This record gives sequence, structure tokens and C-alpha cells, in this order.
Amino acid sequence: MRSSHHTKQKPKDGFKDSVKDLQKFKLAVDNAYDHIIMTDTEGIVLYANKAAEKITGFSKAEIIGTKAGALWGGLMDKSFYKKLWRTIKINKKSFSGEIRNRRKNGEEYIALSSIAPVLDKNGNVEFFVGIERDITREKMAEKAKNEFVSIASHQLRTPVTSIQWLIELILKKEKLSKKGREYLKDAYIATSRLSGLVDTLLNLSRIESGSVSLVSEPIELVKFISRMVKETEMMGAKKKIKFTFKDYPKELNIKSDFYALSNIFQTILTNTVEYTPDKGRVSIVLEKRKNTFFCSISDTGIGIPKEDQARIFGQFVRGGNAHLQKSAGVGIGLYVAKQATELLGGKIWFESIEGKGTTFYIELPLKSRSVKGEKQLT
Amino acid sequence: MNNQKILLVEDDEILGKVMSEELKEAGFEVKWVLDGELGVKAAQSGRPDLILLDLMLPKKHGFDVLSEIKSSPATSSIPVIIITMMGQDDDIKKGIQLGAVDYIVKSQHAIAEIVEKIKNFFAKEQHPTGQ
Repeated sequence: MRSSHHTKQKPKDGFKDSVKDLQKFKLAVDNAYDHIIMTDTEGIVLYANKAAEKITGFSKAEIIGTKAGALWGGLMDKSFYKKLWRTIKINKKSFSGEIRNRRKNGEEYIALSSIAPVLDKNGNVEFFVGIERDITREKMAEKAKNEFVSIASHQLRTPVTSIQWLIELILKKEKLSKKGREYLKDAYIATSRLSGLVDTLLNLSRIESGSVSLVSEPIELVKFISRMVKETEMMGAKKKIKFTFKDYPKELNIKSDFYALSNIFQTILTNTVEYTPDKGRVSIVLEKRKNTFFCSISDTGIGIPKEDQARIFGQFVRGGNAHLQKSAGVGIGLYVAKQATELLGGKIWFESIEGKGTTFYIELPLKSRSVKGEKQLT
Repeated sequence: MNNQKILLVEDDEILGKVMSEELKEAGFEVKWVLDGELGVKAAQSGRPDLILLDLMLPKKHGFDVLSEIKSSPATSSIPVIIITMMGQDDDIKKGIQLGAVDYIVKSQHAIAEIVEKIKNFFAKEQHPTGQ
């Protein structure tokens, strides 16, 4: 660094210096890690850096003078390239997206591409600059991870389902002592928990890969919540937790994704049971608003310590006092619930006082959009 | 009165045993086979009233079993319900496209619920306007 840069004084020999700076710029672009090309307004390559040679496998001599992508592109749908050209040439905006390309040796690769028009004073396109990063390895790793989770969850579910069905049959068909029945019921609850955990992990992996799909379908919310409350009440029966769900409209017909909605309510309701001491109370209020519905779920539980409140919706975060009530827990329930709420176009927030209780608030649109993706939440 | 014939194609020994025993107890006649090839054969020879088809099967994948059943005139009219595991939504979609009438996610239901679903299916079949 030269002192002139620090003092912000103009260098005396401005011209000579700017030439040097330009050389530096060129060296920087030449040696950048990403593939960088510049083209004229018709997409004919004027410049390609070293990484462009390395990534595509074609030499500069081969690349320059050809149309950008003519050598390594063409694997995407026609509509993709059409949209690309319309964006950069007609709308004069930058375009970014993932592109499948092919190297000179025939090997396919995935590039994260961004192409920007450089405009002159009058707003006309002077040239285009395209930057691409080879993200094949990252993509492969992501795919492998998702496949692993999917296979692992399938392999885990089969034995868990077997155990649950067998316990169900023993409870139904076999003569059992009072103790025996109690033990088996506990075993059933434990396997349900295990299968719930597998679901949560699968959901997490889907949210992480950004491939969640939403299917908006008609749901009658009062019945929906009543059923969930009843199920949770059964979970909380041992702890004698009292549930109240009295304040609701007669009927509330909405359109939403069943699985995402179940996920949100199940997480919050299950948490009330897990983190509320014996003989506690949980009350649920449902309200119809203009374009949304609003639901509050309050408990007399252990609360979320102040210092944990800001990050409680984060991944793998549990309240500092959570282990006192329930030792097991991964800390992803609320993370997934928040992601699901946002996917549906809603909000989730809470108020909590440690030692007194927590109230979660959920506000969601009466009509949620459908989203095309690979998989729904479970 | 239900002595309808059900063909169960399921490779997991325990899940298959539980389903077949419970369906028998509910009054159905059940033929249970453990791989895809046997599934196609049993569909042709046994002419069941309903096929419960798992997807991840040895010897022949459930999709191929389904395609073969649906493309053969002798078996194309037999309704097929896919019985799968949670997290295979794409597979469910593909199965429905290939001609399955419905699907059941095994891990989502108690066995009693599954038997109930099958009973309901036959009830609906007999009274298509009902329900």
C-alpha cells in the first residue's frame, strides 16, 4: 500500500498510475478463481480468463470469437437461454442461476452463473460480463447428504413401524399384567418419539436443500386444532396437564398445506407438554382476522430464559433450562416450525417469562399459496 | 360379508406378517408374496380384488410391477394401492400416475387404521356414490 492511498491525495502522475491500476485489475481478473468472460452485445466472446480455460477445458484461442456458451453450454432447456438473453439484453438486468455445462472432455458440470450487462452513458449495452463458479462438488455433496438422509430415514422407519405394530397387537390381543401393559405403553410412546425424530430430521434436510413443496388444500381449522389438542392432551395425561380450547370461531375454513400446518402446531403443542411441569395448564385461542388467522398457545411451563430468547428459533438451539424438564432433544423443532410458517407466508413469535410460562403466537394467511418443489414436509 | 381376495406384495417379513394376519382376521382372503416378480405372477394367476403393493421390492421394483399389471388386459382392472414409507412422496406421485388408485403410508398408521382403510375401500367400491 502506498501512502497516497491512505491520505486520499491524488497521485501526481495520475495517468501512469491509472495504467498500473488497470494492469492490476486485469491481473486480478486473469487470475481469479471463477470463470470470467466478457462478450460483445451479440454474446461473442472478447475476453476469457484462465479459470474459464481451466473450467471449460477450452483454450483462450478456441473460446475467443465464438458465442458464449457455444462450446460448453446448450444443455439447458431452450426457455432457460431465452430467459437469460431477455433479462440481460432487453431488460438490461443481471441474470443469475445454476447452469449445467459440458467441459471439452465431455464431463458435465454445474456452474453458478451471473451475467451482467455493462451499460454506457445512454443506457445502451456496451458489453456483457459473465462470471461462473464451478459448484459441481458442492452440488454432489448436497445430493449425497439428501440421499443419505432419505435412505437412512426409510431404513429407520421400517423397523420402528414393525415395533409399533407389534406392540399394538400385543396390547390388543395378549393377556397382560397391569405392569406389563404399562411398560408396553411406554415402549409404544418411546418408538413414536423415535419416529417423530426421524420425521424432523427429514424435514430439516428438505428445508436445508430448499426443495420443500406446498400443496394448498381446504382445511377446517377448528376441527384440525381440536384434533391436535386432543392428541397432545393424551400425551400430557400422565403429567395431568389441563388443556383449554374454548375460544374459537364456529368454523374456520382455510386453504393451506396440511403437513406444514401440522408441523407447526404439533411442535408448539408438544413443547407445551414437554416443558410444563405436572398439573400445568395450556390454553389455546383461535381468532379469524381479515386475511389471516391468529392463534395463541399459552402454557404455565418453565419458560425460555431471557438470554436464549433471541436465538430460540435457530438450529440446534434449546433453552438453557430445557434439560431440566426433558433431557433428550435436538433443538430443531422450533427452527423447522418457523421455516414452515414463513413458507406458508405467516409469522410466529412468542412472549416468555422464565419460571412462569410461554405464549406462542402464530399468524397465517387464510389462503396459502402452493409451491412447486420436490417434497412436502412430513 | 367380505371374502374379497387381497394380494399383498411386501418384502419386509414383519410388516408383511402383521398386515396379512390382521387382514385375514378382518375376513379377507390374503395371498402374501415377498418380491416383485412373484407379485406379477400372483396377480395374473390369482386375480385378486385388490393389490397392496410396496415399492422398494427385490427382484422387480414396485413401479415395474405396477406397469406390468396395468398394461396386461388380464390384470389392468385390478385396483392397486401403494403401501409405502414416509418420505417417498415423489414415488407416491409416480405410482398414482402409473395407475394406482390410492396410497397408504405405513409408518403413519396403526395397523388397525390400515385394516379400516382397506375395509372402507371395498365399501366405497360397492357403493361408488356413497361417502
